[in-house]
This record gives sequence, structure tokens and C-alpha cells, in this order.
Amino acid sequence: MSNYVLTCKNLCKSYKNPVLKNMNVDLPSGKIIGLLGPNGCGKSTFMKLISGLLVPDSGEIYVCGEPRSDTTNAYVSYLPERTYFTGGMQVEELIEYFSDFYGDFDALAARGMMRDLGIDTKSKLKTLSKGTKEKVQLIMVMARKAKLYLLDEPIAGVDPAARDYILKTIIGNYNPEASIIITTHLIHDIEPILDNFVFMGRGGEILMSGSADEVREEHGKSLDELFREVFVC
Amino acid sequence: MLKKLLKYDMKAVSGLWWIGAVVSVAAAIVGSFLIRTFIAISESNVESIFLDLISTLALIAGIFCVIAIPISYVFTMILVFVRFFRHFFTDEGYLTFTLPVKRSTLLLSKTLNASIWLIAHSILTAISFLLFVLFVYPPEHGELINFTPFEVVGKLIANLWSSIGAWLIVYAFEVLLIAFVGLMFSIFLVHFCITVGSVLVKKAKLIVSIAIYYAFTSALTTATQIVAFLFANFMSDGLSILMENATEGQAYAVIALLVLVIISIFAVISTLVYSATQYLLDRKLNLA
Repeated sequence: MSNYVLTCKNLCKSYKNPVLKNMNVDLPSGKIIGLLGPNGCGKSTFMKLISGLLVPDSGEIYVCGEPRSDTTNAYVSYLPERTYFTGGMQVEELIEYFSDFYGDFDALAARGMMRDLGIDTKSKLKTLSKGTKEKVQLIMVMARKAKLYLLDEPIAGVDPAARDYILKTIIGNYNPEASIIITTHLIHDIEPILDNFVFMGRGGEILMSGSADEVREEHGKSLDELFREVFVC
Repeated sequence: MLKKLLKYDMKAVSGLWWIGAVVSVAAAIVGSFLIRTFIAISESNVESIFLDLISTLALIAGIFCVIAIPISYVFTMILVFVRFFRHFFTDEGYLTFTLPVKRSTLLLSKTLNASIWLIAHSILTAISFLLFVLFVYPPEHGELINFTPFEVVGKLIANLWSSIGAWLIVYAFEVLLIAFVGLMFSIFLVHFCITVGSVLVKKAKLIVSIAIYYAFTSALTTATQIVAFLFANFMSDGLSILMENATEGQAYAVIALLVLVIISIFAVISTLVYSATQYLLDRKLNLA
């Protein structure tokens, strides 16, 4: 088994214009990693490539040492930036759905988190507010004991009070041997939970990476401050 | 995993399918009695404006009921293909394609789901028309059910059997095979067109898919007409000579073989279309 939960070699992806150009990344196991960069630098594209929603133009992706495939989806728990629910389903049916397909899904933990957030599992998903849907989706993702969590803007659409709960949920529910990759613009909010960070520039260029603690010790700055310096407009 | 996928696919369609099923059977029964009323009034030779009005209204309503039977089949088609589109190419695709399931299994599940519901509705449509035929024409002695159509069909089969013997079974089997291959081809083609439309464009995917479907079916119709034209001009004479020199059994065998060749061609085209859909899902799908 590889020490890296995720390895990308010469990863390229373009739509009309190149988004990722020869991106090379090795992400270690057991870390919470902030993938930080300006709008349009390819963070979401990178996550979609890992989860298989996009097909790379070229390059290789390895998840837990295995070439990415439909099978490696079993290791990855992905929270996209949009909600993907079938409207007619109840929350409880969604829990059954995840239980059916993901062997690592903890239905009891999911129900517990729903209860904590006051979400009625008998509710139909289409009747929930946008914020509640996002919370449900995060709970479903975090109730898995995956090896790699990909969280694309997990706190962007929720109120500040719920953010604290979500961050606690992330820390409290992930498998310590797993890694979490989080993208967000709200660096200040997630900074306390980050072990490592990656600053990603245009074209998927890795501008800076390392330990969040080292940044604070060596630069005497928070990640938020460093980000503003690196990506100054 | 296929069983689980199929369970959810079937559950998603069943929630609305029963509406089409009830409409089909109800329309057949109601429609048959409405037209029966029209026939009964027409044959009564009683002159009355009121009765004329009733019979006209009954006829119009009855025709609408009859039209509702095939429309309910179209409703089922829409249900299964919308399920395919939404589950693969809308935001729901984010969940579908991140499941630890091979894409070939996902496509197979959707294909089986469509086949099961469309076959079920085909049988239901046949039952509906049967009910319609049983009730529509009032028997002479005032009974509820008219078995005359069965007698006519029975005589037709008996005549065919006496003419061509056991070849009737072969042809009946071939008709079933044509129906099955035709159904599968139509499912594969719609899946293919939706996939091409969704891979090609980001917006108005369904409209593009429908346009591709019409373009594809038009091209196929043209190709079929060209083949038929070539056959009529260059091969029909040869076939006539072959048939003239053949024994009766050989002639039936040639017809059966020709039908089988046509079925095989459609089966090959169907397989190509299915494989192309699979290729697009594997290699070209980008859910932006």
C-alpha cells in the first residue's frame, strides 16, 4: 500500500482553455489538507478528476496506490459544491441508499448527526432548504469511513453557527488514517483544523505547500494572511 | 451491485408508472363501452336528436379513450428515459458516477429497467386492446362479452396452420424476436442519443438529444430505403427464380432465413449503438 493517499502525475485537463497543466501532487495519509487558490484555478476540476466525474486529457491519478477507476470510488467520499439528491427521496431513504452502496457507511452515525442538527429523517429532500440539503449531504459524506474525503466548499452555503458544527463533524467523524482535502475561500474558518495546505495557482501550478503549523511558526502569519500575500490582486 | 441499482431504478419508475397502467386499462374499458353505446344507438334506428348527440359524444370520447392507450405507453417511455437522463446527466450524476459501481453496470441497470417497464407496458397495452375488443361490439343476444374476435383470430391461425404447417411456429417466433430486437434497439438508440447530446453540450442537453435522435432515425430510414431499393432492383429477380425452383418447404425456409438476416443486422446495429454509449460514458463523460 502506498504512503500517499493520492498521487497525480502530469495531470492535464482543459475545457476551452487549459485548466490543469501537468499537475503533479502527492498527498500523504492521515492529514487534513486545505487546497487553496483563487477562483478558476482548477480546484473543483481537480476534485472532479479524482472522483471520476471528469476524464483527464492526459496524466495519471492513483488513489491509495491504485489507478483511479470506478472501483477506487469505494475509497473516496466526495462532497461536491452542489447538491445531487433525487428530490422524491426521504432523508431516511437516502441513508438506506448509502448503506446499500457503501460498505463503509455508518447509518447510525448519520442518523445521530441528523438528530443533532434537528433534521427529520422522514422529510422529503425536495422540501428541505438549500442550507439543510447541504448539511444532509455533508453528513452523508462524513458518515462514511473512507480513505480519502474530498470536500469542495463544505461551508460556503451555511450560516456561521452551522459552520462550527460542520467543522466539528469533519474532525469528529473522519477516519484518522484517512486524508481530507478541503477547498474553500473561507480560509480563516477552516484554518484551525488544517494540518497541511496547498496553494494552487492558475493551471494547477502548486505555488506553495507544507504544514500549516510551520507557516505560523516560520512566517509568523496565519494561512489566511499568507494566502492574501501570495495571491495579491 | 446490479440488483441494488435495479431496485432503485425500478422503484423510481414504479411511483408514476401505475398511473399510466391504470389509464391504459381504464381507457380500454371505458372507451369500449362508449363506442359500444355509439354502435347500439346507431343500430337501433331510432331517430332522435338527443340520441344522435349522445352517440356522437360517446364516439368522440371513445376515440379519445382508444388514443389514450398508446399515449400511456409513451408516458412509460418518457418515465424510463427521463430517469436515464436525470440519473446520469443532471446533478444526480454526481452521486451516480461516484458510486463504487462500474459504468457498464450502471448502463446495464438502466437498460434492464427500461426493458422491464416497456415490456410490462407492452403486455398491458395488449391486454387493454384485448379488453377493448371483448367489450366494444355488442353481441346479438345481449351478452356482456363478445367472443367473435377470438373466433376470427382462431380461424385465421387454423387457416395459416393448414397452409404452412409448423412454419407458423417459426414465423411466430421470428415476430417475437423482431419485437424484442426492435424494443432493445429503440432503448439503445434513445440512450445513445441522450448520451451524445449530454456529452456534446452543457446546456439544452435534452433538446440536442432529441435533434440527434431525429437525425439518426432519419439517416437510418434513408439507409433502409436505399437498401430496399437496391434489393428490389438487383436481387428480387434472383430471389423470384430461387423461389420458383424451390419446394414449398424450401420457400418457407428462405423467407424465414431472410427475416432472420434482417433481425441479425438490427441486432448488430443495436450492439454497436450500445457499445458506443458505453464508450462515451467511460471515456467522454465530463460532468462540469
